[in-house]
Amino acid sequence: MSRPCTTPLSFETLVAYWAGDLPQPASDAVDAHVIGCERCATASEGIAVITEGIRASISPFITAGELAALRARGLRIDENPVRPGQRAPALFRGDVDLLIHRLGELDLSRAERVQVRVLSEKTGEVMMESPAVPFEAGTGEVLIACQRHFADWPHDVVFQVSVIEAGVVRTSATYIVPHLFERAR
Amino acid sequence: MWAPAPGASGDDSGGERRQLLLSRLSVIPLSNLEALEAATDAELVRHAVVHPDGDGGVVGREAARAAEAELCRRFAPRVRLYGLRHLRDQDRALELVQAVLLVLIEAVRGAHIERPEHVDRFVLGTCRNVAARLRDGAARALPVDPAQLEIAGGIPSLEHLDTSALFRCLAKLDPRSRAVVHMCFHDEATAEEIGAHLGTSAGNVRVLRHRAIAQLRLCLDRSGDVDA
Repeated sequence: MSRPCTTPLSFETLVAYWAGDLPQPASDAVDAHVIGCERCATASEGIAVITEGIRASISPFITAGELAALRARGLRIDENPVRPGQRAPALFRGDVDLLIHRLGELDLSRAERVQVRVLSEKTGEVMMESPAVPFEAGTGEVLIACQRHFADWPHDVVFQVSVIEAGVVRTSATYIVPHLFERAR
Repeated sequence: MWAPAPGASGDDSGGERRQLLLSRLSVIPLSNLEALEAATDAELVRHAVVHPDGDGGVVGREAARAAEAELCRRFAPRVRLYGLRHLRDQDRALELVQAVLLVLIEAVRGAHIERPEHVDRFVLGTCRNVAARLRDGAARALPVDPAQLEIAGGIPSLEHLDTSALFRCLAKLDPRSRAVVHMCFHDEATAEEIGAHLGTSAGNVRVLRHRAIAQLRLCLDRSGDVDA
């Protein structure tokens, strides 16, 4: 057995370590401790599998370049163009890996950043939000990468997009996209 | 039972080091799995030393290999964690594991670890050096096929995470916690940035973050979707 641990690292410290939220000396100290401590290594792995699992997953908000890379990897991808204010039901077919919602007709020419909230139409519950998603200024689009595991989330999806220019919300658009998921095949 | 090789020489400095290590050997029967697991890291390092005359008997060689394998079993997951954290890539983390274990095995076989009780420091230093080379885009850091050093079996398989299970658990978090997790690990936003967006303090974001990760861990453990 490795040396018994007399000063186990706290859960909070390990989460901060995996979040990259520790000052360098503290992060170095965690490295040194975990290398010599089986108990804390096990605890650290239990956190890493979650944080790195999230990092490794496909972001729900992607760029056109990332979309091209996913296609190049061989993923089967459907696309669903949606206009502001439109109710556009979407079928996540069983034979595709990703469904890309193209939230279009946005004036992004002067956008500083774009904020997206994903809500349930019925309950208003915010399923996901990001204050700064990637956007395509040239085509006026935000690309949402809908994934099969989102089938566990509410299906009555509303995307609220806010375009921020010079620190102020200039335009907002809402896209209503009720989802239907086919069983994967 | 492990026993020093007859006629072990101590003529040169390397030999003296080996002699010193051999003199510290305890008499743990390393063919015994429980004894192996109970041995300290330092004892394993001492047991894994290759005899200067290359012999030591079949039992001695097997014991040395068993000690080596146990060292690899212990350090592989920790090196992999270091790699994940600093290289941010599963494949490169595994490459780091193999490279570091190779260096470790060569060092223990050659009795180059002067203070076996601090073998973890040797491993950490090697991790830092090899990871820096990998980050700099060096070609594969492996000098030889790991199979040649018989360590392949010493690298445990990774915990497999079902992404669907993770997202099912994410869906169960309250919206604020989910936003914190997403912004932190997908957007790589700082606690201060997340706090500014959510209208709360960075300290509160950190509390929400670690509570959310704890909930996710509990959810995954209960769902049984994580396979060791």
